[in-house]
Amino acid sequence: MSGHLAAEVLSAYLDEELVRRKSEYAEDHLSHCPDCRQRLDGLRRVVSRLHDVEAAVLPPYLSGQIPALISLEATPKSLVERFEARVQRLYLPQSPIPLAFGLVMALVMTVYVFSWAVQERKSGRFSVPNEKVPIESGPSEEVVLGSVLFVRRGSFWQQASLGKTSPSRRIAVSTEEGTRVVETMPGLTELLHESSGAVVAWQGEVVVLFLEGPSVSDSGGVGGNAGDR
Amino acid sequence: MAASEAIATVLPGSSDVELADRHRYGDEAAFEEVYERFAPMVYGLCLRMSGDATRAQDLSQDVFLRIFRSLGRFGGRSTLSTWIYTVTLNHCRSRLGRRRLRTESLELETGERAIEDPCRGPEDLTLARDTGKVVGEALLHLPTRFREAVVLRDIEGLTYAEIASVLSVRVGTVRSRIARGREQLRVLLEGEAP
Repeated sequence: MSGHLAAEVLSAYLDEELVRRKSEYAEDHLSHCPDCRQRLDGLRRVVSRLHDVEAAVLPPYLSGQIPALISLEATPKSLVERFEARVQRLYLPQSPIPLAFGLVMALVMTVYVFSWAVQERKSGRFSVPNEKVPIESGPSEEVVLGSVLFVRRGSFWQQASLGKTSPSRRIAVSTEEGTRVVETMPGLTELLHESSGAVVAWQGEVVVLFLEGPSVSDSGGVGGNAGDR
Repeated sequence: MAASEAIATVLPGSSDVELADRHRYGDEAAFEEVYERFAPMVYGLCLRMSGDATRAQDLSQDVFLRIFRSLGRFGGRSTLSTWIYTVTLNHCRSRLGRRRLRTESLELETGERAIEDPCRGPEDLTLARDTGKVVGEALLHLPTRFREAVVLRDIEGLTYAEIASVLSVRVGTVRSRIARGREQLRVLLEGEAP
């Protein structure tokens, strides 16, 4: 192609992308070179056809689809939605039978465990010992109830073993009927001491106080009765 | 030159960086504006690169998802249109890969075979010479790097400098690719050297 314009020069000349000096040179060459003019005409025809290519028309489907996809992308999914999507990726049951079977089995297991727990609770295995304990013959300094050790100090019983339960919250009280393990309130220890083992305190706010005779009062009445003594 | 007009329509309205900032801070209208401006351009480029309308739709969806995810990181080092051209072409390259694009013969509406072999005589091409479809099919027979350059120049209407920015090559490389692509196209369409 010696003596003729390079294809790049012709193409760039067509696009007016040559610097002025090169453009003038190409123009001068083309004015007296029929071969290069023919090549330039060929390029011009190609470019003309490319320009005639119709602009792509955006399909209506795409017009609606992309914004919808973007909205899905933009919407933050809730935890439930993300969990559902993950479950669907992991397990897609072809029929509802396996899922229904699993749910029934889970329900049966739940009922069984619940009934077992109720039965165990009724048997007292999980409850705090709160029943009468016969007194051994003669004065006793220590009583073991379950895994808890109670020590008699003066006229009242106190839990001796230290655990998660505060000693002042659980006290064994000696009465004429026997030894009763009770739940007490803070500050009741002194009352127990003053009542000389005649106090029975129940769970909660209600305290039953036996002094000279059976009488019932709430915790507010304890001090009054103790004062009467 | 429809593409030039499309680019010109980008100029008014929000600036590119402002659009990106609005998108970054959650303004949904910003992305809608980008979509309205560039959807035809992206789809057209995907169509020219893939040669298949259905595939072009899939590519366009993916491209806009990419744009949506990364528009906030657009820093304004180029125009937004240049950046979107780059994103689109990169995605087309990665999705289309080295797979030979539509090597099956071109079936014109008349049933004539126009381009199956670049060495076929010009008489076959004459049957559909005036149809843009033939030119579009001929483009698919160009190597990807030439096709990109020719499409950006002669269909999208970008300058050599803009094409160089989109393709991340020098202007001299752009000039060479356009010239070689046009020459191959001329041979495909007219069948003989001048």
